[in-house]
Amino acid sequence: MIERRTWRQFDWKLLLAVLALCAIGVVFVHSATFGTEKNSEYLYKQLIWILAGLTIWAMVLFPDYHMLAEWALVFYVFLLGVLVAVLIFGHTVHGSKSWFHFGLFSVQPSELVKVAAIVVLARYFSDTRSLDQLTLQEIGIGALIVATPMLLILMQGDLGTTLTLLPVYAAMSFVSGLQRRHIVIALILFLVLAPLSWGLLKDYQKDRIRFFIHPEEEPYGSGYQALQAKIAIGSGQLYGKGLKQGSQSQLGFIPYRHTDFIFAVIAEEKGLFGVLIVLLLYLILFYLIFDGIHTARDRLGILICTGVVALLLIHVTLNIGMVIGLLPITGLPLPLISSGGSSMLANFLALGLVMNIKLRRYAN
Amino acid sequence: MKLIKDQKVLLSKIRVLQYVIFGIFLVIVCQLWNLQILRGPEYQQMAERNRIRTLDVPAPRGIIRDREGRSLVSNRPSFNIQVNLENLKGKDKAESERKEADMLLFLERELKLDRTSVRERLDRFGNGPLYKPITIKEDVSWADVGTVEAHLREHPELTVSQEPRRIYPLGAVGAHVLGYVGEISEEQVGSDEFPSSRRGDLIGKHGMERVYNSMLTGKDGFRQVVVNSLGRVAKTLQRQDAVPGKDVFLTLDLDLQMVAEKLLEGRMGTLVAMNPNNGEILAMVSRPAFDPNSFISRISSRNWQELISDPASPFMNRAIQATYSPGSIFKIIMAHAGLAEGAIDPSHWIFCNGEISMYDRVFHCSHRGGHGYVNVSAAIQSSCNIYFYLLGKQMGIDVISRYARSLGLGEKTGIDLPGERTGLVPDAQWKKKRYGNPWYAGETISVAIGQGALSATPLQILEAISALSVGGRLPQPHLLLNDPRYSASEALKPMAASYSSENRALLRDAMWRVVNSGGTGYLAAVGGMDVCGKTGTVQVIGKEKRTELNIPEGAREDLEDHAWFVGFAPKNSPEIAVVAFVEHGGTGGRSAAPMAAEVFREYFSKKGLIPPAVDTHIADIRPANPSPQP
Repeated sequence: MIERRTWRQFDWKLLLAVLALCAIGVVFVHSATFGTEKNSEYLYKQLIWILAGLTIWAMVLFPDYHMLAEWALVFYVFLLGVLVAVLIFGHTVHGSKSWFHFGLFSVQPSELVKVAAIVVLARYFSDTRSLDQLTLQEIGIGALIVATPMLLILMQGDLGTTLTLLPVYAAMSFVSGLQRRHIVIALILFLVLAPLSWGLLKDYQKDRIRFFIHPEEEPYGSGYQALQAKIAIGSGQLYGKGLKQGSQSQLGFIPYRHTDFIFAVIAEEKGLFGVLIVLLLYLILFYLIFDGIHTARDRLGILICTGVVALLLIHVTLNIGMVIGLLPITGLPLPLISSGGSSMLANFLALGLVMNIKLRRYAN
Repeated sequence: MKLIKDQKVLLSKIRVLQYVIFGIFLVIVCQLWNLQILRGPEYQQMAERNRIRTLDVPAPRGIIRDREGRSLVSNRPSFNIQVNLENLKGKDKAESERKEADMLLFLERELKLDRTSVRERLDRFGNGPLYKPITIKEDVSWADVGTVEAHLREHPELTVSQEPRRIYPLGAVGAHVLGYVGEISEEQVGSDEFPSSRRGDLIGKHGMERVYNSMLTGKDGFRQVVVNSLGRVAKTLQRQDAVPGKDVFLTLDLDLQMVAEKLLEGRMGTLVAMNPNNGEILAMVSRPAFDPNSFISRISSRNWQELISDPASPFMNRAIQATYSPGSIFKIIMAHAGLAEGAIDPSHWIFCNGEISMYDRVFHCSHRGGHGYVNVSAAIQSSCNIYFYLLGKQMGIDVISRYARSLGLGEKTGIDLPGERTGLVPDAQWKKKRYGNPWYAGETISVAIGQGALSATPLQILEAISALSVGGRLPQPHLLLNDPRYSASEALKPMAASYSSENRALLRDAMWRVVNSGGTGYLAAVGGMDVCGKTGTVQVIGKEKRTELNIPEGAREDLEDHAWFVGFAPKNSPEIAVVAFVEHGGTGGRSAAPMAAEVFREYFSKKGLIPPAVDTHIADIRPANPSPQP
């Protein structure tokens, strides 16, 4: 059980920031689906996912994270098995075969495997021989821990989710300590391999990138979506058009407006003020996780928190970057805000680990 | 302390991560500032121009078919040119006006469209929703479509739309029955007759098209589309296909109809064939007629004006919208009344010497020399006036009018066609009300031979004679096939007066003699078939007047007598009843009876009961032995 001394470290600010982002999500999922048949269904589902997330979050607090790190390997291997199963039996949604359906709800195991990979990797890097420099072998094994689920997710056709693990790995190995020449080699490898990987992309993925670079080539495909999102954001101006009043959002010009493009809805209906509040909340969240890093009792805690920050950051960056037209369309959810259960559960799981580390800043 | 040192190394690297986050957020905020503040107004405008439009997908109207399923009215694809008002809107009033002026000039030059008529339409529909295109030219040629498409860039406001268009493949055939479609009038929009109509809709204006409009009208579909700033469809979001209207099957028999049409070619009058047992109209022709194809446009044409101002009233369906004196045909009804009232019987003979003096006036018979001794059968057969003068005098106007009404005269038959007229059955009460005068007994004498104030539509006459031919009940004339409203039991309206089978046999026999035994209707005879009938001739100008004005017979066509013939066949179990009426056709026996004969011949030869008609023209059939005509 958790001692009273440990409870005293409970970070209410972190929980409030998380709940504030969730609340914004609930409001805008409601607004974005307003007038559609499934309006109330989306709303209830979102609330249920948040409650489920909170439950997982609370459950993760009880065992010491060192113990969780031991279990994580089993969880990780189990999830890899599930990913293989999904490849064989899963459902296809928007071109990605990555879903498992359980009655009313569907779950994407690829979201959860990312958290498991973070913990397994943190566990591995926390126990290296040198304290400030990873050996080439350690870098390789670490890469293998991340690359295995990446490959399986890529085989599902979900490029966006695959790519999110790359910066997580980069951040965690960077913090663990990298030799300068290794960094240089990694950058060169990346620059060489990136163009080569073009051939591996599917047509719609190539289109997204091509029309990102030349949106005028196809104004009514994915370039059209990107343009409509920009129009939505821009026309929101400073104060926005008001909740449920965004013509771009409500008239269906924005695709996936309650999931991937929800940031555009917020920007259209609540203007620059609204999105600045969202950005501020994310900054507060990151600040509080960094606070956990600074006060963590050991390397494992630091690395887990680093991984979580990297994971959240890459989602926020790719999602908002896509919506505001700075990055190609990848189809990633906005953490804690977008409608959708798997990512909600994964985020609460990750944030539960952070809280766990914060609670146990002092060794028993 | 190794642990602390270790953590310090890690934390120095964490700072790099924090800078990265800061950098990313800075870029995001900059882009948001760029989009929402710097370019905000520009995107605001783009958002306003973004439109989702709902375009109509017009449903084709149902096909109108004859009783054997042959199509009488169908559809073909056509193109219309439309104006999208949205694209005429400029930044300010001046620009909007300039755009409109440009368009009008273009339409005048390239499409030969009259400036004022386009303006008129734009004004009429201009207060509708901006996104709804206004049709300014219908059924355009491929050349016009090409012209509009070629100038898409200069005139984004003009678009070509496709629409199923009504076609009347048989032209004027059955025009009065089929009717035509046209654009709904302002008064009709949303009226009880056209409840879910909207401005600009094509609706049935007349005939079957109008009466069964709701059946024929399908349910328009729609296409929800995204349009770009030029108003061009960029993407279809949602579509609902149009549901075509139901086909309507008519009681008409196209073969019979064609024969009837041909018979009346170049004449004025009407020809109707009906099943006397159930009231199914087998053929209905009225002449002069019109070609519905020439004015089904939304935009009224000059042709229309000519047609409605034509003194020959080509739009009038003479079968139901014109009333005439029944003339000698009425003698059948008189005989029925006399027999039913017991005023006469077959043993009742009178002597006709050609004229009779009643109420200080001399009344003439149809045959100057007189018919000698006649009873009721002989009086019908030879159309003796004297017999019916006496019968009329004996019964009086109120009895006559009662029997006339009981056979449907003086009231609408209730056929499923609009604009039917009632005709008039005069009596003392009517005269008092209408003129304030009492009824004079002398007037009864005129009514007794179907003249005077008495008038009826040809269809009423057909209904009355049909009722007498089958006995007992009035058939309900109708055009919609297999409609439960006209199913056998309810289709027959009860006949007020009693009608014994002896009297029916007597009338049938008398009418058989008219055609087959030296009577006035001998030209209606069809070899191998027992045709019964009665002729009638209605003076347009009296003999005295003619002499007074010094107009010899045949000198002026418009003063010639009207010709009637009504009949049925076969005698003992009638299947078909026919009425023929020819305006200024001369005598009924000579011009109307042969027409009926052709219709009977077609009907029975189609059934294989008699050999088909030799294709001889009616005019070639000359009476071999001219005999007195009523």
